[in-house]
Order: sequence, then C-alpha cells, then structure tokens
Amino acid sequence: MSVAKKLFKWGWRVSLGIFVVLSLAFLAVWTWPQLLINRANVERLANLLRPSTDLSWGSLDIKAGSHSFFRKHLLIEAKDFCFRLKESGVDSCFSEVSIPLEIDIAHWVPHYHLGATKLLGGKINIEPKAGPEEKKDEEGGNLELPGFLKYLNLVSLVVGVDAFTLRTPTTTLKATAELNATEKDENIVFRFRGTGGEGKKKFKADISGDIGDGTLLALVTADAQNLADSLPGVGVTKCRITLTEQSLRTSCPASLKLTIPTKKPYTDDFAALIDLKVDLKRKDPAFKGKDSIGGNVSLNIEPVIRRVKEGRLEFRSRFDGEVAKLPNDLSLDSHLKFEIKDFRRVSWAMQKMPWGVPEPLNSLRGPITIQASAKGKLSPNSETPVPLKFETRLSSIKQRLSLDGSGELLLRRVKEEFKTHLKFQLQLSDVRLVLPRLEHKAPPRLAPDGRIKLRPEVARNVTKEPSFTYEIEILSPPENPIRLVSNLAGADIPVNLSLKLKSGEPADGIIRLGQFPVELFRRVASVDRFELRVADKPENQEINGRITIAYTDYTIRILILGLASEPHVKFLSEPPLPEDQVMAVLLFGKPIDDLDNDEAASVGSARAAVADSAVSLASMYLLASTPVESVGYDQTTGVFTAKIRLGDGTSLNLGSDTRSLNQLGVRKRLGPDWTVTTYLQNPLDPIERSLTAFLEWSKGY
Amino acid sequence: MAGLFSVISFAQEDFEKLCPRVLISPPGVMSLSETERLLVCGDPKNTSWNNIPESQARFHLSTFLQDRGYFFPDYTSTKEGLTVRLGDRTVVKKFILKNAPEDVAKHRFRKVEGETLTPGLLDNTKTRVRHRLQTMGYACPEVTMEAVASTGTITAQVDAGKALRVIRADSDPIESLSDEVPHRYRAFALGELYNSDYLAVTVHRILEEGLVQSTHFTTDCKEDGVFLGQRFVPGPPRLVKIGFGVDTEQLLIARASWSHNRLGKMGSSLELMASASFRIQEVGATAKWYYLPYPSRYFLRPSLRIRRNVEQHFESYEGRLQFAPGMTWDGHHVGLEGHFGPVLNFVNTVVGIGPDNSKFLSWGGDLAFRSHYYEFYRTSPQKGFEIRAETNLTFRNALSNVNAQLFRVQFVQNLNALGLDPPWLVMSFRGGAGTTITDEDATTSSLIPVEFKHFLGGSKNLRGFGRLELPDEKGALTSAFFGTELRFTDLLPFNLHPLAFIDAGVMGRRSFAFDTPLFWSPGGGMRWESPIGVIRTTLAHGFSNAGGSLSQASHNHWQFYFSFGEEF
Repeated sequence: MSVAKKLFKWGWRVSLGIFVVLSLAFLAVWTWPQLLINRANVERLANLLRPSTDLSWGSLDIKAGSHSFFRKHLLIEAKDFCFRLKESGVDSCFSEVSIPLEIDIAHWVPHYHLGATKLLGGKINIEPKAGPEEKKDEEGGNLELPGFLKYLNLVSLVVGVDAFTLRTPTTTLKATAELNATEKDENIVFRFRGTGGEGKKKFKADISGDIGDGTLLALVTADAQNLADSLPGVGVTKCRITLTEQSLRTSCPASLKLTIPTKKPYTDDFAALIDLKVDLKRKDPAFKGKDSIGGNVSLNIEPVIRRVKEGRLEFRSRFDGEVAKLPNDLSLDSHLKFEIKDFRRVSWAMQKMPWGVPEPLNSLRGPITIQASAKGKLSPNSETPVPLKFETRLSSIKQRLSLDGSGELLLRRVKEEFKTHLKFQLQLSDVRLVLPRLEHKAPPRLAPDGRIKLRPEVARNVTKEPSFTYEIEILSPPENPIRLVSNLAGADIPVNLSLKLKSGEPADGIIRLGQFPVELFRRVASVDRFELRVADKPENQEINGRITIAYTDYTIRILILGLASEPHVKFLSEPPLPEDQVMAVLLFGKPIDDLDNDEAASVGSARAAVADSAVSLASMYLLASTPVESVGYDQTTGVFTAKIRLGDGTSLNLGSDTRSLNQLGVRKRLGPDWTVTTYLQNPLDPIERSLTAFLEWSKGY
Repeated sequence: MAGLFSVISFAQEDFEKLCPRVLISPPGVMSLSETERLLVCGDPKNTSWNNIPESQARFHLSTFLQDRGYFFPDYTSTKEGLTVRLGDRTVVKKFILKNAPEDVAKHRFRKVEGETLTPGLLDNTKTRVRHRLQTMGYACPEVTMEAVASTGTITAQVDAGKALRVIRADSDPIESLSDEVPHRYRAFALGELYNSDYLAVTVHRILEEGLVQSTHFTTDCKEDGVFLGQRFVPGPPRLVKIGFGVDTEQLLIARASWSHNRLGKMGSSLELMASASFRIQEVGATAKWYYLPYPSRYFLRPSLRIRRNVEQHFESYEGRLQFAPGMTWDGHHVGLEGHFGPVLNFVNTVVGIGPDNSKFLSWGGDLAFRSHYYEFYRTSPQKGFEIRAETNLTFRNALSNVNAQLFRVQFVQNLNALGLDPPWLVMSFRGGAGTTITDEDATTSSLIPVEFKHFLGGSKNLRGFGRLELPDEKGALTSAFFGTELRFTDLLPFNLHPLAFIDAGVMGRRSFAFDTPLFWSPGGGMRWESPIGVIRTTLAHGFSNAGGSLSQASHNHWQFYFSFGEEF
C-alpha cells in the first residue's frame, strides 16, 4: 500500500514537474517565438524533411517575435528559395520571398494579418510521378471557401511566376502568371493574369475579384485557342462568378469559334453572344460532405450565326442531385429551342461553307423551329425520353417547303455509356420544288457512280451496338403531294413519298409520281403513275410506271417495270396491235407499212433494245420526247445507239461506248435512205469475188 | 488555245474560267455540256437554280469529273471563287475477275488496265465480260463492277450461272411467209451450248439476204436451258438500191438493183442488178428459189449475167445463164454453202487470146466451208477460216467445142495472234491453188474461154502486181499463191491499222505444172476503220526472177491499191 502510495506520489510530482517545465517552455516559446522559429531550427527541419522534401535557399532571414502576449509576428525573407516535393514532383523556386505575417489570437480565433507579401521570380516545375492511382475521394466537392480566408487581413500580396511548367507523359504545358491582391474595405481584392500554352494550344486568363464575408466575386475573361481540332477558339468575357457557402452562380457571355470536321474543315465565329448562366445551390448546408445540390443552367445564343445575325438558341435546364453521387443522381428537366427567322440569311451565310444549302432550297425564305425537352435522371439503365419537334415554313415565288416533324430521342445510360435512339416522323406538309432545267440532250450524271470508291473500304467491326440509332419516317400527305416543277412536264409533277430510314438497314419505301401530262412521241401523253421502290443500291430500285398516249383510233399504253437500271418496257394498245406496229406509231408516227427501210430497221432495233432492257430510263425519255431519226442496237454487245433530231436542226447521237466491240458492221446508216453497205461482190465469180463497200441509196416498197 | 476559253492567272498558275465563280486548272482540258454547266454555274433562266453554293458546285463537278477520270481534284475556296486543280487522271492498274468460269478467267482482256478509270469504262468492261460469258454458254450472267480509284483497281464480280444449251427457239410469224423460213439461216442448232455470237451471225444472214428489215432474239434462261424467241420487223419486200463504190482496181463502181426478197411462202428472192466500172460493166438477174413445198435449206439458183470485161490483157463480152441447185448446212461451229449446175455460156473475145462468139455448156459450182466466226468477223477479220472450192467443167461434144475442166481451192485463215481481247496483232494467211485440165495449148489456143484461164495479181492475191497482170495476156493453166499479213490493230490511234505482208505465187502454162519464175511481193499498208466503212491501202513491190520460162517480161515494179470495204 505504502509502495503504491509512494509510486503515486512520485508519479504526481514528476508529472507536475514535466507540466511545469513544459508550461514554462511553452510560455518561453510563446513569449519569445524566436526561440523555436529561427534559422537554425528551419535548417534542422529541412534536414528532417529531406527524405521527402528538399528545401534550399541562397539567403534566409527569419525573424519571429511578439508584439504582445496575443500578437505575434513573423517575417520570412529569402533569396532563391526553393523547395522540391519528391513524391508529387513539384519543384519550385522563387528568387525573392518576403512574407510579413502577424497573428492575433486575442479573440481565441486566429486572425491573420499578412503584410506586403512578395513571392517573385517564381519558377515552378511540376512533373507528377507515375504511380498507383490514388483512391479518389468518394465525397463530392465542397462549395465553401477555405475557412482561414474569413480571418485574413491582407496589406498586399504579389506573386509572380515567370515560368510554370507542367509535364505529363503526353503533354508539356508552359505558363506565366501574376497575382496581385490587396485589402480594401475589409475585402481582399485580387487580380490574376496568366498566359500559357502547349504547341498550338494557347490560353489566356484574366481573373479579378474580391473575397469578403465568405463570398467570392470574380470576373473572368479568358480565351483559349486550339484546345481541340474542332474547337479553335473559345472564350468568356467578363464572366461573373459568385461563390458563397451555399451557392455558385455564374453568368458568362461567351464566344465560340468552331471548326466543322469535314474533309476540308471549315472554321468560323459562329456565335457572338452566348450567355451561359449557372445557378447552383446547396440544398442542405448542414449536411456537409454529402451535399445535395440543385440549380438552373440557362444558355442563350443569339445570333447563332454572327455574320448574318440570324438564329436564336435557348436552353434551360433545372437539375438536382447529391454531389457525391454525380452524375448518376442527376435529375434533369431541360428545354431547348432553336429558331431561325429567315432561312434565306442562313443559306446566304452558308454559301461558302462546305455544307452550304443546295439549290433549289437556298433561295427559300421563312422560319425554321426545332424544339426539344427532356425530363429524367441520368442514373444507369434509366431511359429519358426527349420529345422533339421540327417545323419549317419556307417559301419563295415558285417554291414551298413546309415540313412538320415530331418524334422522340430516347436517352439511355448503359453502365458508363450513353445510348441514344431517335424515332422521328417527318411530314412533308406542303412542298413544291423546282427541278433544274434539263435540255433534250443526254442528261448528266447527278451523283457520283456508287460503284467507284475513292479508297478501299475498311471492314468495320459492327458487333458493338452503335451509340446512336434511328428510325425516321418521311411521308407526304396523300391529299397534298409534293409538287415538282420541271421544264419537261406540262404541269406540276405530283409525288407521294413514303420512306423509312432505319440505322443499320437499307432505306425502304416508295416514291410515287401521280398523274401528270408530258409531251411524248409528239403528243400530250399522260403519265398515269410511276412508282419507284427505294432499295439499298440505286441499281436495285424497282420501278412500276404506266404512260398513256391517246391517238384517234387507238390508245397506246406503255408499261415500265422491273429494275430502274434495266427497265422492262411493255407496249400495249386498245384495240390490240402488234408490238412493232405500236413502236412504229410511237417512234415515227405512222403505221409500220408506211415506214421506209431504215425506219423499219429502227423499229426492230428499238424493239430489240427494249426487250433486252438495254435502254436506260433517261435514253428512253429522250427517245420519247424528241423526234427520232434512227435507232440502232447491236444485240451481241448490248450497244444501243440512237440519233435524235434536236430543236435547233442538229442531231444528237445517244449510245454506249462501242470500242473493242466491232463485228458485223456491214450496214452503216448515214441518213434517211442513205447507207454504206459492204457487199460480197460477184459471189459467183471466183476471180471477181470481193468485199466492196457502197455508198447506197435505197427505198423499199 | 487561249482564244477558245477565258484564262486567268494568279498564284503563278493559269486557270480557265469555267463559270464566273469556278476556275479550273489546267486550262483547256475540261469542258462541260450545257446541262452540266447549269448545275455547276447556276441557271440564270431559273431563279430556283441560279445561285449554286460552292459546296453544291463542288459536288456536281466531282460527279462530272468522275466521268472524265478525275477522282482527286483539289478544291480551294478563294476570293476569286472556287478553284479546282484537276490533278491526274486515274489510270486502271489492275483488273480482277472474281468468280469467273475458268475459261473466261483465262481470257486476256485488254483495254482495261492502262485505261482511264471512268463509269463508262466500267460499263464497257461489264459489257465485254458479259459478252465473253455469253459466247461460252452462260446465257444470262450477272456481272457486278466495282472500282477503287486510289489503287486503280477494277473488279468484275461474276455470277455466271450454269452453261446452258439452247433447248427451244421460236420465231414470230412473218406475214406471207411460212413460219419456219427463218430457221434456215440459223448458225446454231437446238441442243448446242448458247453462243450469242451465233445469234448475231443468224441475224446478219437474214439481214444480208434482205428477208426482213430487222430481227432480233430474246433470250430467256430457264433451269434446264435457254428459250430463244426471234422477233421481226419485215419492212417492205421490194427494194430499190442505187450505190457507188470505189477502189483502185475498178476505180469508180456504180451499182443499181431491184430486189424482191419475200417471194412465195418459202421466202424465195429475185434480184435484178446492173453495175458499171472502168473494168467491168454488167447486167444480171439472180433468183434463189426455195422450191420444196416446205421450208428447207435447198434451193435452185437460176442466174443470168451479161458482162463486158476490159482487162490489161483482154477485152471480152460474156453471157452466162446458170441453173444451179444449191444448199446450205450448219454444224456446231462451221457452215457449208454450195451450188452446182449447168451454165450456158456465150463468150466473144475482142482483144487478147480467147474464143470469138463462142457458145458452150459448162457445169459450174462453188462450195464454201467456213467457221461461224469467219462470218462474225467478216468486216473486221480477227478469227475464223474459210475454205472454198470451185469448179467449172466443159466437155467437147457436150454442147461445147473445147475440153476444159477448172478446179480451184482457196482458203483464208485469220488469227488473233496473241489471244488478246481486243486483238493487238491479227495474223492472216490466205492461199489457193487451181488448175485447168485441157488438151488445148494455153499459149496459142483461142478456144479456151478466159474464165478457164488462171491469172494472178491484184489485191486479192499478189498485191505487188497489177490486177490480173500475171503471167501475161496468154494466161496460165495452173496457179498457186500464198500470202500472209500482219495487222497491228492497236498500234496507232484513230482506228488506223498498219499492216505488213508478203505474197508469193507461181503459175504454169500446163495443167498441174508450175513454171518459173516465182512471183513475190512484200509490202505494207494501212487499214482505217472509218465511221463509214473500212478503207484500205497497200503499197507493195512485185518481184519476179528474171529469165523464167513463163514470162520474159519484167514485172518488177511498185503497186498501190486503195479499196473501200475490202478485207484480206
């Protein structure tokens, strides 16, 4: 017992002694902080830290002291002060450092008074070491400003970084920066200016603002160039940022320079006035670390196309979510509206762009509106429908283009990937378009020959589901078909259209021409119908057409069937006539018995060519719409030739390339009744027998 | 050149102003059709198409440039407008035939590799591949063409199907003719492999005969074979013709004829003809009478000819009335045509050695055995052969005062020497041998009619000598010749075919015997497949060994020939 007592007694005395010593030591250090904070201790500290941090200086002067019991002061002045954090790869030097700091703890909460602080001639080199990835903080961000800023008084702060270098395995970023901060009306007023870049990438920022009463107000003017190939320029001017404990609010007029990634990328300043407003609020300030946020984002761009001051885009979105679970927990309620008041201006502005509006559309005037809205959550496996609306009311003197589209874009999040599916119906409510003026000559090819690829096609791995799929239906109302205006037709050509476009599948649908008059075979004929079933390739498109031509004594019907590339044509008549009789009437306007030899031969050739589907639709039209002089067809080679008489008195030869395919050319037509014919002369005379060509006139009866 | 189009220069480069806002370099290479121009430059007469944006102009222009073989033009948007640098034309470096039957895959197609890649070339190549397949039984082949411009590769994907035989061939009726009349012209038979060239030969025979104005076949491929249908446009049966020809042997030739080509139900024909040239003037009538009561290949060929010959060594008047039965036959790849019958002759030789006012009976005939491809390529020889045998027999005391029997065999063989398609070198051979058996002396007897004598020289045998120049005015009783010609069909542009040849011949005054000298003539020439027919010229030097027993005169000289329509 006495031993225990003794031990307790000694223990108490020793503890009291230690406490007294420590208290005296603390009091001494508190009273004379230079006892602890001095150059020798800093050198010792540098040696202690050396395994992880290098500290060095050219000259170092540390003055610590007390103004009173509660007010301490510290002055650090150094030349060529450098520190290197080995693990994080930060290597910094400042040529001149001066930090005068006073700490006042009279009110139990430390108040900092920073005098004229200078960190000049900075050279900061950061080269992060590759290593195991740090586990990310699961908790979300915090909207608060650092707490000490509330109790900081500042006379002035000047930080100059002459060379900042950030090296990563993929990039090297270089920058300079300058920060000036002073205290004014109890607020810290600061201005930061920095420039930097890497290769073609350049950025510049000028941030000024003040911090006071727990609120940061900042004006940001910044621009960046060539951040990405498609983004050669982006900038904000006087972007106002207000950050408080509870909220973040931004209002940013921005500019945007975009490059459209086409074969020859096109770059332009698209939008002059972009106003991006972000209003973000913490919902439960008390529940730190698992903040719930809610807010609004609004984006207004007007004009979208700066050059012609046209186009307005409005985007408003309200969002809510728990910061820690973003973006999975993000709920969105968004609306987008894009309006063009006068499409003609847009066409004009796009005139020189790679995707300029083609004729005959670019002369149309009127509005275009696109609207979309979305309400849903971005959580995995959720589906968010985005209803879409599209409307045009375009017109010109001769044309109209009124389209009404509606549909839905379904946003789906599968794991970390977003998938979108567009289901859209476009109704061609009122369409009248003028076709190019075509002459009665061989029509030009209107699109590149699909058989010829510019480069070898690379086989694509299509096993992965694409991120964007679509189902688009395009149709014209039967009661108001599309009307096409052509100089070749006597009236508008009515067209009904029903097309289905589905991703990964060939287009399907029918283009149906209604009845219209057209001059064919020197008469006003009626195209009763002409249907084209769309297929994967142009050569596989099926056609079904019927043309009626009324004569005094009979009616001729021409049926065009089969594939567009090899049309089958049938000639029918009421009352029934032999096919050669029908063709004689069509081609030469007279019965076959009244034809001369060449005309009769032409009828035969035309029949053979039509039977072999050797006449293209275009050639067939030309044959039908212009007076025919002669038709020739080499059935062996499939070479079709025709001579048609043009309005100006000249003749035009239609037909295929005949080189390398010469065989039995014993009779060559030169003109009506005139031929060059090669005869076997004197076939019964062994001496005189020979082939001789004669320029010959012939007449049959 | 500069006067033809507007040229402007900037950036040290010349551009042609295709339209106000489209400049193209180099100038003078590209021209647009009127409709193409409207689509590239805009249409001032059509307000909806008068303002073509650069992108659309570029799209249309790219399409039109494809047609001309330019696949990689360089477009630049400048303040002057859209500038287009055409670059080089894309040339086909490789032609691949995929999935083709072995015999077609081995076929050596030319004029694909080395040609400018255009959609037209694809069409043309497709036609050629299809045609080739259709000559080998693949009646309804599918050929899909593809090309890659950057590699200059053309691929023809072939789906030939089965090689099919013709199992049925129907003809449309021709008014007033028996249904099967057209069958006698067929160069094919049921059960044979389909060959579209033989259909063409059939069509050609019918048109040459003048039976109808136009005819063609329809081909319907079934699982077990091909169904053919033949359609006709008969046209008028009677035909009047007046024509002119020209060559250096006869100079200007005028010809007029009247014919009726659908006489009776069997399609017999009658032609009345008159022709005149510097050498020959004649009138005649020829009929082809299909005498059997059903359509057949057997016919009677009565003919009457009255002619005046004015040749280098003789001048004669001839009358000839023949009544010859004849027939045609066609086998798998060859055909036969022949006739033989009595001929009542009248000959009056006014200059040279020959009978005066002689009338005699002879028996004459002709048999031609030829491949279908000889007919197919007759006006552009490159393949096939013909062997022709002729005879003319007259016997003393059989309504004749002279005993003479002429026999002659001739042949022509054309070869596509390197087997290329189209051919690059055509090699042709021709030759003939003939003799007249008679107990008369050819040099002195005036009883032997000229047509029983043998002469050589001229474009038909020895081209280094004048027409019928050899041996002399007395003629010969035996002759033989051989000639070979090399024709380069793709050495020169504009369908000009240079040719080189050598002909040689020997003759004899007696039957079955040759005398010296040997006549030979090397030479060259040019053949032009003009738009209106074949024009052929040759220049050759005739050589004969001096001092021969046949002729003392020198025949060494240059000889030029020009002909229109004539072939080797």
